[in-house]
Amino acid sequence: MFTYLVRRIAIGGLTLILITFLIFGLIRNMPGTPLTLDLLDPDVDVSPERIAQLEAAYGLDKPWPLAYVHWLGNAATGDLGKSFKQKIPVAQVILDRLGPTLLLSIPSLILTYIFSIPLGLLSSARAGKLDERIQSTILYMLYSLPSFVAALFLQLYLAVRWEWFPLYGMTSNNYDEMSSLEQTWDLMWHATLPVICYTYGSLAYYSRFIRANLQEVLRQDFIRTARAKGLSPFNVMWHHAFRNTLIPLVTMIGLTLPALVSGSVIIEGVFSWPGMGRELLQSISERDYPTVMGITLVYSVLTLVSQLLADIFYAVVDPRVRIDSK
Amino acid sequence: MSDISPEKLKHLKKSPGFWKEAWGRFRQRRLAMLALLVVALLSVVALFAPAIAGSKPVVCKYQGEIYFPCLGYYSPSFEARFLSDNFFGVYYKNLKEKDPESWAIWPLYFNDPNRPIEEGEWPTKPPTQQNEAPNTNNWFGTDDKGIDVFAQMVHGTRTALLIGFVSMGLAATIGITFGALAGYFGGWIDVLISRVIEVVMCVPTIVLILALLAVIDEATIWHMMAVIGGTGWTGIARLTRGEFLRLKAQDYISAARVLGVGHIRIMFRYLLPNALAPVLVPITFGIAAAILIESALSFLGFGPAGTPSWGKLLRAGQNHFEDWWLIFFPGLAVFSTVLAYNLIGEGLQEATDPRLRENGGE
Repeated sequence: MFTYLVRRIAIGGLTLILITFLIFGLIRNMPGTPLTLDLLDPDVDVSPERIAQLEAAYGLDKPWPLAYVHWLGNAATGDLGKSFKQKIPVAQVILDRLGPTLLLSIPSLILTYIFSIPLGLLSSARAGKLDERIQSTILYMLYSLPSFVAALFLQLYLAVRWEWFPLYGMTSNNYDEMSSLEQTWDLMWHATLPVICYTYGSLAYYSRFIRANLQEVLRQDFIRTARAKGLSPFNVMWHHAFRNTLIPLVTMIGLTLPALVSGSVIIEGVFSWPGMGRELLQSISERDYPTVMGITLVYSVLTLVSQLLADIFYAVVDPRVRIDSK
Repeated sequence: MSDISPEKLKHLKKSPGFWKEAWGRFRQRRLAMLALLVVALLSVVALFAPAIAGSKPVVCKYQGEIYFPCLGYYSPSFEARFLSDNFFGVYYKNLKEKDPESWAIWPLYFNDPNRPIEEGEWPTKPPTQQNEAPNTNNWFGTDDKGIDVFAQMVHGTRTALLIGFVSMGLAATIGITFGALAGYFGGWIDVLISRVIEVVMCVPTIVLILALLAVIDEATIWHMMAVIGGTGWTGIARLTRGEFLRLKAQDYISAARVLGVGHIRIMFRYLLPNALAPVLVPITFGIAAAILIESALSFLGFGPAGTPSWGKLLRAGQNHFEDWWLIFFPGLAVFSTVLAYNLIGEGLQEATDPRLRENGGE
């Protein structure tokens, strides 16, 4: 077990270096630099000495493999550099944007699980009957509806036509003058539409996932035994069948961890929500290399860690995996 | 004994084979067949897009020769003759004036997906206004540049389906090749390819696609296909690798090696046909995903330059919420297409997966 862990972490570290190298090379070779926008500004001094000065400050005068090694060295000691655009440390930028993204993704995760488990159980228990078929079809259609299309429809009808919810943004204009209770309410009111967009897709997917797993478990012999013993259908479903579907379900929670933090570029863009996804998009457009590298690093580390955790969890919980992989 | 005579034995029906059986099972699912019909319909629309909606004649005879100006939407060479004769894209008047003997067959719906229609281009058709609601002249309304939305939707179908098929074809080719190589040869090739798959999977797709698109100056529809296909092959590769690892251990492969059959032949003629069935399902879902990615990219503003697309209409709609037709129709189109492909993929899965068949399935 220990050697397996060490090997996975070592390979993971290598993969991380490869990923960051690839992204660094890609964004450095994109046409345009952080200075191109400044060059167009007539107020900014664009004498050759000034440009050379700025380039040295931004690290643009070195060839990009060298600059990458420079960045890697800094990152290993915890220094992710300063954002070009906002002039504050990248770590600060990430922390600032992390809060809003988590404000959307964590309620969405909780809501998904609260609703998808009963839905999955229900559709499994009433499989084949008319109401279940209708529910399945509706969930399937929800699953196929792209999130940005749903976001636009929601904006069109709920925000513009009927004005039940705000169109975009995280807070109202008079946020600073509100009491804490009003502030909380304001945040929730603004977060409703984005959270709906985040949730409905995963809800549909998970309830189908749970249903598929439950159907496989329900075919097993021990379920037949439980029923033959005279246990109530609810008992059979909840105490005997559902627990055996938990392994894939919890593994999936682990795998969605990176998405929790990275947010959705599209939804945050549609609702002008100041989160990680939108920050990533803006940084790429502004050629803000340190921020892009910082966010990519966070995302890649989380992806690798969550995959490793999922594998370990699987091995710990399911003895068959441990024995087979010897 | 029953009536089994030697003659009857000679004429026993051949077993239909895996694919015919799977098709029979697929046909029984009404929703999947409906979805297949929808996709077939969309393919017809995409194929005949310039003949359905456009401002150029489908076929015309001009000065004694036959031309197909409608294909000018795909390549300017089809319109070269008319360019040199100073038509400037206006066909009806000029054909009549310059050659009274000419005739032309026009598209079903006269409107252009790339520009507004001007005064006098077509008798009884007024010039298109900006931001008009759906009416008899513009079935789906117009956008803020005065370009007809229905024509854009029809030509956008071609964009969506083309990107879906070609990028998925590319992804499938790359994924199956890598997966087959990794699964069959094992050893350091497997380790190397698995690392590559892991790296590409861990990179946030948005970053990769945006970076690649930014490197290219003007992203045409072909660039987008290459980029989307080049980033979407990892799932297929992993699945193919798993299938090859599983099938490699079987006896008939060892027998083939003993007989001296070469590696490439074994991979492509023995293993691949058997590994293909489970891989078709993620490929179908992948087509839906590719269409989704393309509309999302167009929606964000990174779409193919010069080609109409559903995502571009949605982007225009976001800036003008009062023009509901800019969101409703493209949104419905994207939704229906993705739903149709998902249904086909699910039908395919249930038709080919042996585990679901064992206990009668659902």
